[in-house]
Amino acid sequence: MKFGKLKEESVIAYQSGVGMWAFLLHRITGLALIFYLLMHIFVISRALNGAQTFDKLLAVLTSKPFILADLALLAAILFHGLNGIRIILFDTGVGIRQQKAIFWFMMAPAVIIWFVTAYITIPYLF
Amino acid sequence: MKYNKSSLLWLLQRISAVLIFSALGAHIWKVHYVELGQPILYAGVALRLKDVMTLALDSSILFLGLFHGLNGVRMVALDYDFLKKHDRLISWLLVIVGAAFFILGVRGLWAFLINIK
Amino acid sequence: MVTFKIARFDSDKDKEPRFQTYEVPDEKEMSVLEALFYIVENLDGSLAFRYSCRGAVCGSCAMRINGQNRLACQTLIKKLGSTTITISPLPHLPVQKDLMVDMESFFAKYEKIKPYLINNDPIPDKEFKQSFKERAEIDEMINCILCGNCYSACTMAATNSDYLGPAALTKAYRFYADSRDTAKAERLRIIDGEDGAFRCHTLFNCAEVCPKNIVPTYSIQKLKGAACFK
Repeated sequence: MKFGKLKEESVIAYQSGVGMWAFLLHRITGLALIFYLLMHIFVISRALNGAQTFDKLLAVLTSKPFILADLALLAAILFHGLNGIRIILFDTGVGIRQQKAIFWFMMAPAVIIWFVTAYITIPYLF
Repeated sequence: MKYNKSSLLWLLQRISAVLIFSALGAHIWKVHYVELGQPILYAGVALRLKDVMTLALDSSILFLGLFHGLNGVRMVALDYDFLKKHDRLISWLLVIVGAAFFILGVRGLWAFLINIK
Repeated sequence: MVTFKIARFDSDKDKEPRFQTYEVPDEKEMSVLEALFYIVENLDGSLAFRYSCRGAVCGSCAMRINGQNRLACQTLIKKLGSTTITISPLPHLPVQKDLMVDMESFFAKYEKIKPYLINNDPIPDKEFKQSFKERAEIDEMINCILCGNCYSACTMAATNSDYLGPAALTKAYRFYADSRDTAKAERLRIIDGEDGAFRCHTLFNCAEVCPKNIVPTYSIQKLKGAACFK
């Protein structure tokens, strides 16, 4: 028998509740962070080529565009970490039925920490 | 207690998550924000890494981060039929990438301890 | 009048599903299933869909209504709050005809978890006793009517064709947690592994769509813990 398949069926956009979007962001930030970690290790390992090479490279990486990029990195870490705590809570059996409330409860410190850090950073951006 | 591979990896993913969560805050704050706007210099990093606690912090983040991240990549791969088919290949690739970057990272940290001029 | 946009598919004529529009006069307290009856009786007798009990007990009329998996019999038109209602078959399952999907994989996985009480103890004089407290733990899972809403909504079940899915795992926990069941080790062996409970990443799509307000995630999390610390 021949089966049909609906065209607009997407893996992402359906029945979306808070949990679905939390999962998607968790996955995207997770993949971004492992990519960052590998880059980070590579950059630090340049120290093997001597102090001068390292200092030159780090001068670029502490410039304004990278301070801005660091804020994006911090946002990814805050989301992944705090949503990760939410996931571990579920693993210990806590709050499974309050998952939406816990999501916003976790996002509140993330937003506060991010804005405080962004405020500290602003003078160095101009 | 007898652990199956999948439940063991699941548990280790959680344990590494908690450890990274506690260690990463200190690392980020120290390296990225305490001396914001100041250049990060080789000599400064070398001085910082002289502290045993800092060295232990950085190397544990190196190991746990690589494990947590690469095991996470395998979990993503297992979610999709077309990637799951190649689980063995992907797992070995991730082990190799993990080992290579761990060695690279350790050598990087080592470079600060022996004071390359 | 309410406009119904309904997905139609006939494997003999159509290459892929298309949408057809029907105008249905809405009456008070009319359910989506009753509107489908109206269409079959007055507008288009060729429309195919499954239904049986009309009272949210059998789970046959699961379909995607205005973007969410629901039971047609349980969904009142006025509760949807829109004059255009789009109906398509359950997503991520092969469409047989119009709103009917192939539930083969769903029931194959349901069978895998051995959905029956296993007890090899000698039969007692009267009955296998169970306290109110022991029964309370599995009250929720027993309500599952196997409609397939959660299975169809689960992203992991959609992208990994071997994943047992929320319904089967909920039923697996229902028997694992049953005080009268003696096959606990075997049940844990079935749900262990990458295609079992550990494939769940707590998306809660299943809980969003369950017509019986079951939270399958609860059962799956309990199984993960049990499988890890057995």
